[in-house]
Amino acid sequence: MEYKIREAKREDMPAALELIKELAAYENASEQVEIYVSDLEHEGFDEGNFKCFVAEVNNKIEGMALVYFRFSTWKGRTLHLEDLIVRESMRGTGLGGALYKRVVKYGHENSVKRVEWVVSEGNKNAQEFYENTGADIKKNWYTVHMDETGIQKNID
Amino acid sequence: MEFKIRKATPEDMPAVLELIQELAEFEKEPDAVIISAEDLKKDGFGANPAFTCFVAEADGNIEGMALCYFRYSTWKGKTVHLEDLVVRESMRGKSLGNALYTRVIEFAKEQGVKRTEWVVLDWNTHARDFYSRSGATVFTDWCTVQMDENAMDRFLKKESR
Repeated sequence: MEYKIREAKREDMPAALELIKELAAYENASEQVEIYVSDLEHEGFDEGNFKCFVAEVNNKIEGMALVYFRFSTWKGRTLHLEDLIVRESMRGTGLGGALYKRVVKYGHENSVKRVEWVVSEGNKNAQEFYENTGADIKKNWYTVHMDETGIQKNID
Repeated sequence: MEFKIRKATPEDMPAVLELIQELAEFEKEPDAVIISAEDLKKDGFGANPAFTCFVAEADGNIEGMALCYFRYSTWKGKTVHLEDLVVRESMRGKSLGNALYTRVIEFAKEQGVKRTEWVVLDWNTHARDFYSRSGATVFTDWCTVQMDENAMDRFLKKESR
């Protein structure tokens, strides 16, 4: 199958949000998506708060990867992969692997010390794939989130 | 005890690095820190800073620090990530940590983000309890994945064959 991996444009954001929602639905968390196309357009293309790559097949966006820089106080600048999504009907066609490779290449081009992301503990397939590509799974670090309610509680 | 929480300046970076090193030792990875005070000065200040740092000052000494930066959630938009919060060991239990923690959350509120986030080591139950009590949620079902420089090189070489 022929496909093209390229940097996303502002016009791709409706398709990107569609994929984000597809992933949220898959995780039974549809109601958690609180952003709009206009947020993605503004944050990604006016503010430069992330970089997005898309996989295009027959002029249609079938996958996306969204990344941004972070800062490690041990290593310096790192690249964080926030989402990598391939439309369900297009799984197993090599799009995911191609997006993954593009992200690592982008990290390398930007001389970061590492690329990082999170994986669900139950997703053994993904974990195995990551380990086969040379990544390390850190099982002893837990993610902590404080949402708006928690934030407000600490301000009052 | 009197102390002041303020934004860090480039001149604070040597003291900040000292605290980073102290934390790495606490986390049993004393050799993991490859960054220099010069890197911190260069990356954290100027036109496009990679992070915001707060320090706790007591008697003119930097005794604690919190370093954070923005991330981007595809569900919630911009978030604040707390990368490190360190209080010098001799100064623990004097509420410097709490004051820095509150300052970071205030910063998140000022910036209008929907989430503040960080990671915690599984064995650090003391910290985990503190976070939960303060209204944060600890997710034990997400693992961090890291591909370091060498692994990136190897992966890209293999893929280009």
